[in-house]
Amino acid sequence: MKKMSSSETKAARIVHGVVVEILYTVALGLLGTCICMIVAVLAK
Amino acid sequence: MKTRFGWHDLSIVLHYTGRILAGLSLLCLIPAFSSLVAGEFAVAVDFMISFGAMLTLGSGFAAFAPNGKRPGWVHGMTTAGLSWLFAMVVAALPYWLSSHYNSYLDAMFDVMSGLTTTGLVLLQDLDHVSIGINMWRHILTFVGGQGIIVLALALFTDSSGGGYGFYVGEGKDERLFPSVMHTAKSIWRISILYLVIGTMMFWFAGIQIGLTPIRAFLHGFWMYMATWSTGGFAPMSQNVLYYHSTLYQILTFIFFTLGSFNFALHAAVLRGNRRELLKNTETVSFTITMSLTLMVVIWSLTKLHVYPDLVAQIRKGFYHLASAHTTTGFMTIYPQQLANEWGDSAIAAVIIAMMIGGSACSTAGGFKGLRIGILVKAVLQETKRLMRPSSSIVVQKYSYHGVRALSEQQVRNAALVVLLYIAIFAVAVVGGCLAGFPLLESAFEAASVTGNVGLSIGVTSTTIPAGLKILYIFNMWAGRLEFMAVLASMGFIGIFFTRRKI
Repeated sequence: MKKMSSSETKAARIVHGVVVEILYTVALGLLGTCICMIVAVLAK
Repeated sequence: MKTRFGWHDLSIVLHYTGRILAGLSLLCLIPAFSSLVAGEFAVAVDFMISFGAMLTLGSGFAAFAPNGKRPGWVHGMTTAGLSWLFAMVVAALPYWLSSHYNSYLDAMFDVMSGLTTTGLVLLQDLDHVSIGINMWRHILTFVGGQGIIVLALALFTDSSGGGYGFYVGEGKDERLFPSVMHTAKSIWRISILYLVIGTMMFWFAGIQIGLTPIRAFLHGFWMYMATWSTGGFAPMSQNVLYYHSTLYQILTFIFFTLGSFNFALHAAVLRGNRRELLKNTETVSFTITMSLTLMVVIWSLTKLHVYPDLVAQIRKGFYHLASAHTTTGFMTIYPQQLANEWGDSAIAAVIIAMMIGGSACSTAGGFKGLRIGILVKAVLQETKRLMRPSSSIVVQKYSYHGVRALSEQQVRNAALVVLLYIAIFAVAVVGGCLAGFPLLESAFEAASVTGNVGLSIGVTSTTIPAGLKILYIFNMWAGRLEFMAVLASMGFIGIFFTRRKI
């Protein structure tokens, strides 16, 4: 398998980091949605 | 050793303030160019006039020679504080020339609101402003989010010393690299990376909801800048509600949450340290405080039957709570709906969220999650100390780019900044009440300006007294710079003019 150059490795790390950060915020959004659902049921 | 400030110290401050203003003048060329492309020739002339005025003033100040003396800590902090005030005065010129403002004070209010990423607006007839003015509004908030000093450090300074005082004076004390200049460049690289990604995503969303490609691009570019900087400006008066789009709301949620994260956290994750997202005191404290305030908001909205179903509660309740906690200020409801429909407990929870704010060394405002985390850890440490023999030593740790031991100095600094935030918040609440607004509404607006949020419950308008506008400008300025530069500026001016030694 061809070894990645350092600039390719850096680019891959950046892309991976951006994806991870976006997924983290999506997870926060899902957590908030779950809290909304649970509290709405309890408050009724 | 007693300290005294003389003309040579003032020369240093004026010189560097001038360089920052001269650099800021170059930003006028962006809306001037976009106005020319759009055929708005009168607007382009307004921006060229403003460019000339800012460059002249900046060059005039920069002519004060520092006499070979390198700027010290106090010079850096004072320059940071004063350059924001001078920037507010000169950057209001394009607004004033556009005739969309009732007074120059209103124009300065909007500049400070943009630079501090607050997002409150006094501009008249926003739906019909020129492309140039919209470009200027959003550029101010994007640059202000990163910091005008950070921009100057990244682009206009050499590697000579004294940079750290400038950098810290703008409310950032986290070094991504040993060199402050390198740190400033890194902050801009991260922001530009996300600017490209975010603009593309917003552009796609705009086309998907039916905007023309050019309009979708401009709105995407502006909305991205306002989102990442947690500024909350929007090109239309209805704010995010204008788009009536779940996709737009999701994108704004993603990018204003990311914008509220510490730049050091972004740097760590982009270097490969993904675990920091889960372990970092700031992200943990943000998750906990947002969850707790969200519970109160949703409970209140459900009990009052404000929204017909769960989807509406999430899109309105959760979205506005997140917008408040990240100090963004995007709204999909009108201020009057907030005041009349949400109920006192939900509004109180939003006030608390606004005051807590986002992360340190980010584009967000508020106390900052790190300080909340430090103070909670300090309470735990004190509790442990009380439970153990008096001779025992209690070491409290917290996770912040590695495991660190909590020191008394950190606790004192965190408590002092939180205390100062509460103090200026209280003054703004009293100011609002004196202007005739009810207590809760005054408190909401005070939290919004002090935490640089931008959500409005209907207090901020062009008809409020000038004194209240000036008070809100001060709170936005002090809150954004986190007091150090403000105290340094006031102390420097006081010592200089009274010729006292301290």
